[in-house]
Amino acid sequence: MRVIAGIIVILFPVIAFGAEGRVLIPAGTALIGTDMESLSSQLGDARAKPDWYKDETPSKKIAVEAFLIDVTEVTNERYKSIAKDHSFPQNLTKYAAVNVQWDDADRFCKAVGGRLPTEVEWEYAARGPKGLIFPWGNDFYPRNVIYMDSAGEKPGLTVGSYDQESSGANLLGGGAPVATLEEGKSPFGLYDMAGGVWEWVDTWYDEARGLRTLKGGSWLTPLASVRSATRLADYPSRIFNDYGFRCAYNAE
Amino acid sequence: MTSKSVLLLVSFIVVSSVMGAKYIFLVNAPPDSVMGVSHSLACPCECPMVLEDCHMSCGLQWKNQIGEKLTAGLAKDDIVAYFYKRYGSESLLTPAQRFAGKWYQVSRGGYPVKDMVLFGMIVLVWTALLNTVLVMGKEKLQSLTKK
Repeated sequence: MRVIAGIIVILFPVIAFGAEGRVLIPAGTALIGTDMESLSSQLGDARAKPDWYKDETPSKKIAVEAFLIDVTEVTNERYKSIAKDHSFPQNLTKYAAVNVQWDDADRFCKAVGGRLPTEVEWEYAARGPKGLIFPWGNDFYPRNVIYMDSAGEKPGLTVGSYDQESSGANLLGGGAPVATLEEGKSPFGLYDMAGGVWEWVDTWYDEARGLRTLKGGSWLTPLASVRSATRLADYPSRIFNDYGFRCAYNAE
Repeated sequence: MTSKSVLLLVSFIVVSSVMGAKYIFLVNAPPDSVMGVSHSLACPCECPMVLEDCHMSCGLQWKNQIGEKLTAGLAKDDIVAYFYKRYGSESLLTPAQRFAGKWYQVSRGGYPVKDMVLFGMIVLVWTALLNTVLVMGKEKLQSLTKK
């Protein structure tokens, strides 16, 4: 019995995380979104209008099938291995790949045998079975996340000098290598589900208007937007230096 | 100081307050237009301007995004929400920031010529009217006193 238990303990990281840094998210019931009544108390800024975040209301419970998801965002190094024309500063190999269009993110995930996660899957992976506000819990801790106020708190964050810069270039701050904030992990052990870079998901925000959904907030965003329920809408052709992604995989 | 000078000064102060408030706070364009939405946002570049006055590349990039979203049928509030979600209070203006932004715009030569001509005309007309009313009132008072 002890031998079997030992083998399971040894093999668990391989089964659960896999060789490519994936984690198995078991089937369950996801708590998605936020109730309007609790929204204003979660925004953390008197200037943030609850109406601006009403697209995440009301909260819902949705059954989710088991799936696997990357433990970290896809890095520049990993993305470059498939997308040969991806350019990035050479000192940012371990940073999340950014300036990636939705189509390119989708193509990459399919090339590695996966797909982009749906919004429900992403939010479940971030909030866990209890439907936490942030990946690590219900209280905000600046040390757990890279967001707009991190520039002063975490020296060394860098935007980098990309070929195609975007509008965040003039604002202070920037990213850090993936998987550096241990205390910011989600209940399933995923890194950087809050802040860092926004992540494309495989769910339309508004199909009629051609808008895709992004989740998680970025190094540019306020506290309100690093809550896991926050939804951002943008065109799939957009490239920004705070738009990245991670892949999901079917469990079977 | 003559009474006419005092009147002119009072007119100047009153009209400049009203016109200044209009220039700083009121939208001169329809709300669902690029300029109408830009009026509510700060310029993301290294200047303290209101986005509607900003012509730097990063400001134009934001205006371009606003135009695309308006074309797709998004309303002003949806677009302001998008910018807040992405950039937080960096994208918004307090009344003091708006005042500073407009002052910066005027001080670097971005005079609102149409508004200034209108301002001059209103000051003159208002002063003349006030003067006429006061002169007539004074004459009326004198005639009543004589009776």
